[in-house]
Amino acid sequence: MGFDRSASDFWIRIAAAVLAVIGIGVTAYLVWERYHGNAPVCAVGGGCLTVQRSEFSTVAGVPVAFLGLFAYVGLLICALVPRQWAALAALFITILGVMLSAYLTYLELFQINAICEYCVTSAIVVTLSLIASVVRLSLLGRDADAGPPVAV
Amino acid sequence: MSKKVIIAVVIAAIVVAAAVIGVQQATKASSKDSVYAKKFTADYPNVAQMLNGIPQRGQVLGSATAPISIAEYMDYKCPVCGAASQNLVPPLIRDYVRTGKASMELRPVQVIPPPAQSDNAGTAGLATAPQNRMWYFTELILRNQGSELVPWLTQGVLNDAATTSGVNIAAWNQANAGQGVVTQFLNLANSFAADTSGAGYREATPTFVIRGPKGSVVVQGDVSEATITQAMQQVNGGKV
Repeated sequence: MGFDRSASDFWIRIAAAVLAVIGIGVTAYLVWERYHGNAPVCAVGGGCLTVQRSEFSTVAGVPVAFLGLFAYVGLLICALVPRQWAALAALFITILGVMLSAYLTYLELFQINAICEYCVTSAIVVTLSLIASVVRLSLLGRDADAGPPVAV
Repeated sequence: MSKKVIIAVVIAAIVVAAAVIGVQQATKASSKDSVYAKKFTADYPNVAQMLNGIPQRGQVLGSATAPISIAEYMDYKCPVCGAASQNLVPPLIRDYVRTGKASMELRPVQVIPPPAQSDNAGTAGLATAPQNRMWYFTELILRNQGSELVPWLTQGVLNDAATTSGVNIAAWNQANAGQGVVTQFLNLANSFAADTSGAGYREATPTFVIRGPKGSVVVQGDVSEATITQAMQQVNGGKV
């Protein structure tokens, strides 16, 4: 069976776009609730408000959820653009996102002592997005290794 | 694609992540210094549970069509107002405001003599009203008061209360710096004097002015929900 790299690239970008949309949904909800002063609906554990109102919920006054929303919008754009720079930008954003998600998960577990299911969802989504961006880059790398068509 | 480019992107991402964590740690350390910031953060879920889902319009909490209105003259540093916030206001909101039977209005005044910071807090509270956050802001402060004899209600504490209440700080600062809130505060002082001018009353907080179709009643001091209910019945033809 043949391996169609362009088709694979298309589907990996579709997967990345779907993940970005999920991330946008989660973070947009948290931003919305924060600016309306409401407690996020927390079905499991009940720690969402504790996390959202903790001293760790902002970076220099900017809510972490807003930074996440900004990052996911960036990831969606990268997924929709079939260019090399977009793949590199997606790698940059997802590495950043995974590192910050790991840090925030550490804070939730050991500093805040509360778990926010939306944060966990975002951590999973950004990790899957990192995998998608690595796969996408590897596909681009294979295309480059293959080189231009050779006349025989 | 060049491996060097990919490595550069990875390193850049790690550096930026480290920078973000550093900034986050630095800003967290500054907010950690405030005891009140911690108190407000810990108490916010309780205040939110009490207020969420009830319409707020400026100083007023509750339905615009409620037949009875309860105006509370309060001083942010008055301990009896703090006690009322803990013991009286929550059941009033639960039983009468949330059910649409009454609305409540916050009217900050200064009764604790200067330098008690009550006037600054009063104008700061009024400056949250245009954002419909005054009840969150006020309840957080009243429920977590320091001693009335100590100058604990600093601008930093007001900032912490505003931040925890979800106030847009830039808009709040702008409103707080204007003459509008000062005029409002002075007008409230005048209406406080007028409402407590009757025989047997004095300018003390908390003062509750209950108004309904059959007139108005003034109740002062450390009162119970039953006393307020009785006053509500009086101004509403015997029913609540």
